Amino acid sequence: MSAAPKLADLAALQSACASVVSDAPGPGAVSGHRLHQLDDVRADPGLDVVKMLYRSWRLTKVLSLLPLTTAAIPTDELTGLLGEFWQRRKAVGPYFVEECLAFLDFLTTSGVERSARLVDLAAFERARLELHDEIAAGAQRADRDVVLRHRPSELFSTDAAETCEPADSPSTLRGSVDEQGTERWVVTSGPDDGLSLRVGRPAH
Amino acid sequence: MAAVGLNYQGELRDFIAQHVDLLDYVELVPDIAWTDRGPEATDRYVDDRATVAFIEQVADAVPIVAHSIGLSIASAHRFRTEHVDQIRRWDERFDFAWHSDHLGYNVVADPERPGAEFTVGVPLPLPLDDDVLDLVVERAIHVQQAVAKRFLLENNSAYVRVPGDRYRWAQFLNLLCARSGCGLLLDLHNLYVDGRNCTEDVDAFLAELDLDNVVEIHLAGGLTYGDHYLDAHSGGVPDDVWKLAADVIPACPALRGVTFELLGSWFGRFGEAALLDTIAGMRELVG
Repeated sequence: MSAAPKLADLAALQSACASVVSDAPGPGAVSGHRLHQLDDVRADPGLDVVKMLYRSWRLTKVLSLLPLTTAAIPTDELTGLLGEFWQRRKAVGPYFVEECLAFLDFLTTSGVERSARLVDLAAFERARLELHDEIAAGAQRADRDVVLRHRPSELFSTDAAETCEPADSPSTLRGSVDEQGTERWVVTSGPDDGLSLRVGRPAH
Repeated sequence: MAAVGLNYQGELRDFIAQHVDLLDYVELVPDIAWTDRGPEATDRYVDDRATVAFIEQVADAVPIVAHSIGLSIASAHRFRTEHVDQIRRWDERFDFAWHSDHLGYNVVADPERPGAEFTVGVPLPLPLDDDVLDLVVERAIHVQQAVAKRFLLENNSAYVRVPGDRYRWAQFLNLLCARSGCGLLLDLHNLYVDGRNCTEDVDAFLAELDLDNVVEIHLAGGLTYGDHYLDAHSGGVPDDVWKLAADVIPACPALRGVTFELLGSWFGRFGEAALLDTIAGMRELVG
C-alpha cells in the first residue's frame, strides 16, 4: 500500500479515537486492522481515564474563567448544558477565552430558560473576558459598557446575590482595564449611579 | 554536568523572579505565551503581553528552553508546519537553549466537517508501527531543518496502549532518534505512570532504551484516580521517581538538563519550601 492510503487509514483511526474520547458522533471510515485497533481501544479500561482527562480539560476552562455564570446554574443543569455544548462544539485549541466566549454564545442561543440574574452575570463575564483579551493582545486600555437588569450593588453581593430581583430600571456598568491588567468597574447610569465596584477576578 | 530547570507557570512568576539564581534555565510552554487565533486571522499568533514581558526579563538571567504542546507531530491528516514556523520565529527572538514537543497527537481531522480539525487536549492512543514511525521521522527531520536548535521529543504517558504494536515503546524511541537525529526528552514521571498503570515494564524499557539519545529529563508528581495513577504535575516527585533519576542520570552522556514540572494551580498546596527542596534535590542528582 502506498503512503497516502496508509496515512488516510491512520488519520481515520485517530479521528475515531478522538471522537470516542470526546463522545462525539463517529467513528468515521475506519477499516481493516485499524478497525480492530479501534475496537480494542474502546474496550481498554484506560480509556475512561483519557475521557476523564478530556472532560476535566474542558471543564477547567469554563469554571476558571466564568465562575459567576457557572455558579449561578444548578450543578445538574450545568452538567447537562456542558455535555450538550461539548457535543455541539468540539474544542479547536487549547485556549480558554475562545472556549468561554463560545459557551456564553451557547447559553444565549440554546433555548434554555435563563434567569435574569444569569443573563446579567453572563453579560458581565463576557465583557470582562473581552476586556482582558484586548489588553493581552496589546491594547493600552480597553473599555466596555454592560447593561444590567439588576442593581450592581446587589448582583455581585455575596449576601444578596441568590435572592436579588431585577430593578425597576436598568443599570449601565462601565468596565475598563489598563495595560497592567488592573480592572475598574463604575456604574454610569441607574440606581447605583457613580458606584465603584470591586468584583473578584478569577486567577488564570 | 547537566543543568537544573523549572517549568514556567503564571503562578510561579514570583517564585522564579525571587529564586532565578537557583535555576540554570526556565522551561516555557510557548503556546501559553501566545494565542493562536486560527488560519483565517491576519495576526495569527498574538503574544500574551504579560507572559512575554516576564519571559524577556527571565531571559536576561538564564536561558529559556521551549517545551511546546502544539505540534501534534503524529497527527496523520496533516503536518502543522505553521506551528514549526512559529517556534522558529520565537527561537530567533528568545534564543532557546533547545526545544521539544510531545511524541503523540491530539489534533485530528473532524469527520463531520471536511477540512476542519479538532483537538481533545490530551494525548491519544498511538500505534507503534511503521506508518507512525515513518511519519514522525520525516517530520522530526523537517523540524530540525527549520529550527536551528536541538529538537527533542518526549515520551508521553500511555493510559491506553494500542494492541498489535509492531514495536516496543523503547524500541520505537530508539529507531525514531536514530533515523531522524532528534533527541529524547525522557520524562521519568511519565514512565513511572506507565509502570504504575501496567502499560509499560519500566525495567525492561530502561534496559532497552538507548540512553545516548537522552538530552533532557523531566521530573514531576502525580495523583491517583480510581485504579489509575495520573501524570498531574500536582506536587512532589515520588521516591521511586527520584530513585529512577539517580540510576538513569549518570548513564545519559548527552544529558543537558533536568526539569521539574509543577502545575501552577498546585503551587499553593505544594509550597515554596517543598519547591526549593525539589530544586536542591535535582542539583544534588546532577552533581
